Amino acid sequence: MPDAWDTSVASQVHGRSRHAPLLAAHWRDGIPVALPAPTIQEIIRGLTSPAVHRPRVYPKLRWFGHLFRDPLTIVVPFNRGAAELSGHLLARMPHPPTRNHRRAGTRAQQRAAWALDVQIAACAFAGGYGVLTETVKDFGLLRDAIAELLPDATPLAVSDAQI
Amino acid sequence: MVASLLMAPSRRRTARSAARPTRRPRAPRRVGARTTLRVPDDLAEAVARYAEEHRTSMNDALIRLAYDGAHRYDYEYTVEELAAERGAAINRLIDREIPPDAGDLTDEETTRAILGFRLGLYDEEIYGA
Repeated sequence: MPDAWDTSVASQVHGRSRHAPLLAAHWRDGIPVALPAPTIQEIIRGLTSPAVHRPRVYPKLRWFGHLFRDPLTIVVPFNRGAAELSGHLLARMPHPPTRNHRRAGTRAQQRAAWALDVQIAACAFAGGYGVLTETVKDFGLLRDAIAELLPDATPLAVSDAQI
Repeated sequence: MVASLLMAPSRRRTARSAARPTRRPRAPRRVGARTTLRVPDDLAEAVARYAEEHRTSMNDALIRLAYDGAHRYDYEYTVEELAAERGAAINRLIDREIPPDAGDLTDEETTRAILGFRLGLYDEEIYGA
């Protein structure tokens, strides 16, 4: 099952970043790069945030823009199936799991990030992909919740991108 | 002449037709250019079914079905046109001119910018609109 990259991976594929060799390998071997639509939203949101230095961000914004438009890139859509599934998941798990650890960011930021993770998992599942992520524990919970909700469907594979 | 499904029935009254309880209502008279077209048999069957179901003439059934298709086509055309126009506008957000002295974010700055709100690196209440 091919993997769609979540934001923790897709945000580190440029230049000499941690996952740049992964992108290079995909390009070299002609293997599609699957990016869930919410991951793209998150990348653009981060780069265009007023908190980020404006003119210096343009080259990276363009670099990611080219990545999203690359013929090898598949944007995994937030379609009807993904929307329905993420609705079910958010109803069951409206809050991000804390596991007795304080999560980064304000509560509002944590909930927004969790909603994005739910959408990313739903896109990948509905689109026929697994998820490649650095936050395996969170996506593992989503994998389990989907398996509980849809016991007959092939489960979401969650792969650890930590290297 | 080979009988077609689209051909009007004979106007000769027979004992059977005289015994029919009600006549099929007349199809509406339309204004427009007259034309002749060849209707494929499989389509003619669907048109005949539609005409029977809606108690109208074959011509009227054909026109109504054509209107349905035309409305669908118009809908898709309108949506596609608008989507293409809006898509081009969205593309321009990325393809804007980069000032020559803009500089560039480092790899670390880029990752921090993208993951900043997840990591709580900046307060969006301050920077937000």
